[in-house]
Amino acid sequence: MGYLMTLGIFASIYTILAISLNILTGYAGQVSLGHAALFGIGAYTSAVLTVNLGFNYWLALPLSIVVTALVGALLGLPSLRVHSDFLVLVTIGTNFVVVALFKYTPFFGGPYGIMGIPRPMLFGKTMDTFAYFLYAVGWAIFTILFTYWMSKKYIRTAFEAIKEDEEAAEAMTISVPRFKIYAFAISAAFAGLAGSLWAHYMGVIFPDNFSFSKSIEIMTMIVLGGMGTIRGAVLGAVLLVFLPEYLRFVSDYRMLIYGLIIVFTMLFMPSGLLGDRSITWKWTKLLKKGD
Amino acid sequence: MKISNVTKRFGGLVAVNSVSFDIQKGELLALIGPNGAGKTTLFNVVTGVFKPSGGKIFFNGERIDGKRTSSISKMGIGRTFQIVRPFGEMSVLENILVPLGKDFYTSLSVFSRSPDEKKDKAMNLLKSAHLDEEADKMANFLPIGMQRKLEITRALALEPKLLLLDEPAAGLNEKESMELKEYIEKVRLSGTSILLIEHDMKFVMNLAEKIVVLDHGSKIAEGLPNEIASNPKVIEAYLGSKHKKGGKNA
Repeated sequence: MGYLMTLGIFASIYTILAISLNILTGYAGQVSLGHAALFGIGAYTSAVLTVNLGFNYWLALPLSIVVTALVGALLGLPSLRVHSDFLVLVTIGTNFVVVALFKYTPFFGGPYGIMGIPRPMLFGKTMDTFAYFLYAVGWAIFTILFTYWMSKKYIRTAFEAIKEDEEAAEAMTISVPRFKIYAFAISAAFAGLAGSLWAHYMGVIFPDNFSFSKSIEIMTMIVLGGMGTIRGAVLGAVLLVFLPEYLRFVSDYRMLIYGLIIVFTMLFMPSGLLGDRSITWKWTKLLKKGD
Repeated sequence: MKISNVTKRFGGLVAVNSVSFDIQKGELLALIGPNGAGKTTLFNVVTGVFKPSGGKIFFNGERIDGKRTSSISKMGIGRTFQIVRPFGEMSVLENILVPLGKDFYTSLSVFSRSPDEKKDKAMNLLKSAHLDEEADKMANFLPIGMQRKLEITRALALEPKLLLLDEPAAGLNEKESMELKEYIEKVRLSGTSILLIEHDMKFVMNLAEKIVVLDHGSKIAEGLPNEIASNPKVIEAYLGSKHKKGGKNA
């Protein structure tokens, strides 16, 4: 039961991560393969604040969200100069640089990471696994609701417009740099939240938790679930957390399978399982017609 | 709008060479010239895609050269593109909802205001362009004539004081081209100034009030349509000097 709770916590954290990448890549069209760097910055900020600097968790959490959002906005600056495939390379490079900074800076604990990260206290009691499970699910639901609300507002329209055609968006009074930075900052804020949740559940973090392969994992989730949709991001995250636990071979060949998922989804169902034009909806339509 | 001695150089190439002209309020001015004359480059300088290498551009008395495209469009200059650029993966309706958010993109109200509020207005605009039946279709799936019209409607949704059209008839068949002409006429009657780029002289002859002719980046003529049609410099630019010689001999 405790193990299932842990999986539930991971699924919640990955749901937040996948939705956060979906805002940046699915909505605003800025493909990032370095999202784990932002996840790591959130985790390290929260850990450093509580362990090294003695901050209270409830102060460290919002601070780590804000810090990650600011760093995200900064990391978004290259996107104003480079596009599509070049931007992907920049984000990959950024991921390696950030992990190296964690690894080679003694303040961040070097390769051994940071240990003894406290579990948050609620009503004078340290959260147990069950409480933390509810807490993480709560944040995942908050993320879903916030993103859903945002997707109904003009901010989403602006994101879609710059994804479709930057020059045409500018002609429609939309400042492309402004909205790219918004997308990076909002996306990073949620990655920071996920990082903090991860750090305070695990109690210990290592630089390698946030490596490039983690970025691929997050990208696989939204590709499989369906780019550009919240439901796709949630499904992708939940599937890729639970499947390896129940199918042994998936966990043995994890990276190979992620690679295959990306290749096959892109080739045969670019809208993923639940994307707006995915085969799932086509099939349900066909079935209905068959009745 | 006033364009004053605008020059644009790309390295050693002078694409636009010290061109000046004005567009009065409510006027339809056509900018014509053979392919490669610098029309689209001038257009891109006016809309802020390129910074001019020299000269000044004023709009309603305010200098706009060197500003961002988004600021220039916000000041009331709408545009279309030579190769149609609708937001292809969006529906026709959504394409119109984008410009209707123009008051929100520069403030935090992008987080509070919703495109749903503007749906009725967008539908009315589509109706006036006879595109309302296509509202839910993806823009990419429309025939090119409709995409053009959608693009113009999208620019008009900004309620621009000046509309820039870059070869709106390119790629259209006779019938689509006629329909488009009527649509442009209608837009002009509503009081919007229009700057129309076109290399097809026939298309602009009975549409424009004034014509400016560019050739090799320089203005070679400016005047009423019938003056332009009989201007020997213009005929030479379009048909080459060989024709002129032939004409003399004949």
